[in-house]
Amino acid sequence: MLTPQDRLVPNEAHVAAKVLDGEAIIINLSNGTYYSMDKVGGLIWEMIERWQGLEATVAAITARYEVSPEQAEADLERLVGELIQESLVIVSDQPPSAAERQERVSGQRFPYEPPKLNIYRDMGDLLALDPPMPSLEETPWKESSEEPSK
Amino acid sequence: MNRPLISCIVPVFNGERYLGEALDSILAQTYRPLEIIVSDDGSTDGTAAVVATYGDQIRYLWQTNAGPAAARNLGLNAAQGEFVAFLDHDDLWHPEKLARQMARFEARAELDMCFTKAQNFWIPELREFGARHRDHPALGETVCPHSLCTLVARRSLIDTVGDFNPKFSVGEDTDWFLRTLEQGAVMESLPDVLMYRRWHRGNLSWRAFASDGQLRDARLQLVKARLDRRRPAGMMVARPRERPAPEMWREDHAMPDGPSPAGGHRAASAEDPL
Repeated sequence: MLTPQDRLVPNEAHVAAKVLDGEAIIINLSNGTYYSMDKVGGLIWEMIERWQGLEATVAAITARYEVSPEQAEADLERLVGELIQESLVIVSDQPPSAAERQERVSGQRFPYEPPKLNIYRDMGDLLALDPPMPSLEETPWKESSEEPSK
Repeated sequence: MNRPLISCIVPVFNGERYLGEALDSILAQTYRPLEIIVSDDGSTDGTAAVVATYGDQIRYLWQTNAGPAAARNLGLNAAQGEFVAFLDHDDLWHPEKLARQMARFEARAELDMCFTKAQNFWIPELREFGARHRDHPALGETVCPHSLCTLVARRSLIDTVGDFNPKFSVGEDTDWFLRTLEQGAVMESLPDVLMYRRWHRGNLSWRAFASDGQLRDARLQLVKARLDRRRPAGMMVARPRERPAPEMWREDHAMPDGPSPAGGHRAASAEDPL
């Protein structure tokens, strides 16, 4: 059971993700499934990328969107459940660092829509093509081998 | 019988070491007629000299270094064939590759793209390394890469889909494949191993480097581009697509509750947000 002090971090061993134009694009590299979350969802992923806790995330959402803390928290819990189920995030066991930043309150708040994780499973192999490759450093190298044979 | 011309495009950058073997494997094809185009992406080594030894069997094009997508496009612009195939300078084709693929195009008038399986092989100095990593998805002995080097495509498909996007310095092939899918391209993948991918120091270390950073970033960019293409203009939220998309290459991509069509058939895709 998660608590407000818990925080989630991207499951970087298997996931590539980036927020582009406010939309979080997430790929599970082990199976090629990809995901998108825009608006509130994009903000939530930004907070995950910045290793912010759930409490700070709720604060960031209510600062930017017209929503009560109770609803923001309930929607966040639901979304986080999906993110965990899809193995996109893991619960961090490291304590919050002093450098953790709180979301600034900007003044204007935007209409709220509950965050939604869109799931796409149509690209399979194409996105799973490039799992991390082993490093050549473990192999002693004979320089002569790459010389032209002529 | 008039058989259609296949343009075989070989993009290369500083490929003198293996290029000759790749070209020999094209010339050894049992299929004719062929045109062979080497598209040199600004090599500074002896690549041009290697090509010159083949005389007029090969067309040689050169550009200032601009990346693999631009090099492929350079070849495409010059290609005259009704069909197009690509081979990287360090890989090899089986002598019957094109003939077996063209038999499929002859059998299926609706076919747009035909892939084959590929087999990895290692330069002698890396065989032990390869054996240690044979369980790696990309490094096992036989792989099913939806690689441009196993592809034969109809030129008409390329004209419809467009050429390679030079914005992608890596992953330009994946971006192009996605666009073909969005056009409803009909594809088939032969179970035969007809391409041999050579692993050597250059491509392995590049892949190890790129898979962490550049390739991941390219994958994200092309997913974003794909999502954007599917949205009505001005809309920011992904919606379920309105028309069926072609099924992906392998049967096991079908969703648990969906149909499981054989590769190459048009079928509804389980693509919608769940």
